[in-house]
Amino acid sequence: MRYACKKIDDCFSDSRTWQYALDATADDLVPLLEETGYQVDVNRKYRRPFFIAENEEGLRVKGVLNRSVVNASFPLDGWEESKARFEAWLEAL
Amino acid sequence: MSAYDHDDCGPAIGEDAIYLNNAATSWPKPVCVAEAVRESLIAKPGSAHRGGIMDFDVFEAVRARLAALFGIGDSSRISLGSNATWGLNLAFFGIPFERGDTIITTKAEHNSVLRPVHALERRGLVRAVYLDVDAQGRVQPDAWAQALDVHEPRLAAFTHASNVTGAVNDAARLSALAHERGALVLLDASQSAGWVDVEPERWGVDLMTFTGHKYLLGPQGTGGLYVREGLELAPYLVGGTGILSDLDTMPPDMPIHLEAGTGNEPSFHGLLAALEWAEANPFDREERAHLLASLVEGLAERGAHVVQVEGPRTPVVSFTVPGMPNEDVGEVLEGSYDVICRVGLHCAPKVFACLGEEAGTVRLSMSRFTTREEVDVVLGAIGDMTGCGA
Repeated sequence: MRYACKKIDDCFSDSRTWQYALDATADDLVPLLEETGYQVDVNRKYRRPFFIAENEEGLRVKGVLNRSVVNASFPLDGWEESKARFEAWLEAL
Repeated sequence: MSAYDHDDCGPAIGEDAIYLNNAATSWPKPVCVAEAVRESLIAKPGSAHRGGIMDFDVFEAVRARLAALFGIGDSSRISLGSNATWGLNLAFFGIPFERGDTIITTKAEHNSVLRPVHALERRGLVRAVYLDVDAQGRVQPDAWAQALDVHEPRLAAFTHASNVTGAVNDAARLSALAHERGALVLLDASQSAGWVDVEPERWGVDLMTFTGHKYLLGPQGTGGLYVREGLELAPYLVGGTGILSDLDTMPPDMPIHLEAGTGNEPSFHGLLAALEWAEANPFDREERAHLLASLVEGLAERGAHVVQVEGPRTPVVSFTVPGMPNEDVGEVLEGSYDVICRVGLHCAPKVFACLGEEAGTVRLSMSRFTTREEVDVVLGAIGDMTGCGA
């Protein structure tokens, strides 16, 4: 899967969140996250269904299901390795 | 691959967006504002400070409008610049502090106040005292008076309205208390100008900053600083003024004493249009208060933890949703409901301990244009998050 990513800054200097524009939608991504062991919560009550996925190391991926942009927040400890692993995983899809 | 190739990314903001981030910057603006900016860019530039009687000086026109709005007798006491932060920096760094002076300010302040104060502290020039505010984000006059008695500050600086809770301070009373104890008063009216009455001369305020792009409905890049008659600041910014070029220093007279560099003429044309439009189209304060109250009540009924504010307030509401991080609430509001809000610390990091919301809040800030239908969408969204449809 190809992507472009950009860091998202917020109010906290320790923020480790990046936005990923994918060449697929979150609908395609969510089952793959589940297969990889993420705990995925999809809320279909929302006007546009929204998912939040989290893995064991604390990486959280979020977004609207039918959109191609998701946000990924990496754990403070080891965020660089976590980001590298996530991007390698995306590239391998 | 470009991140911008995707038609299905969804607009960050579009015609259908419900914009509730007016405490950051107002949107929409009256149509005439954009037209005025456009016309200014097309027209021959003005000659600020040099024009004769037949030339239109937009800065003088804006000054006159603002003086009338704020009850300022002499419009030349208003220097115009890029925003309230510009004005605050001119104030903090233009007051001739002496080593050992104290500044009293409050924990409800925006970083546009906190960071200049901190910079002065780091220089070893002043000592700063940050006064607690109450759980509504409001300065309590008794605590203010007590702090003034204890610390005997050279300067007392406070926001007219909290940008986090909307609570409006009693500026006249706080100013009087500070003056009784010999302090100069600096009022930050960024969050109040255009929404509630702002009367620095009547209140005895020495210095007041404001911005043009929030409730005054002007473009970004507009703001100013009022300096009372008899008070002189050392210019923090120096440079060209277009006149009196043979002087080595900034011209001594206000307002140009504090106006170095070329002014933002197009944006001030926009602000002038906004001020004229707002005067011709006053909003119904009672109707806005009812809509705000219904938003606050509706959030609470749906299980949100709302920072409750009594008394005078701007159309700002802070809340959290139990069990959901603030950033998730914001992302769902924007991604699933097209509601533009602000989450986090809102550039006022010290206030949250006073509010009992250390992790920050979700902030909704209405405008005069916010509709009942838009409020209903927000309440529906929060109800979907909490499971309390009310």
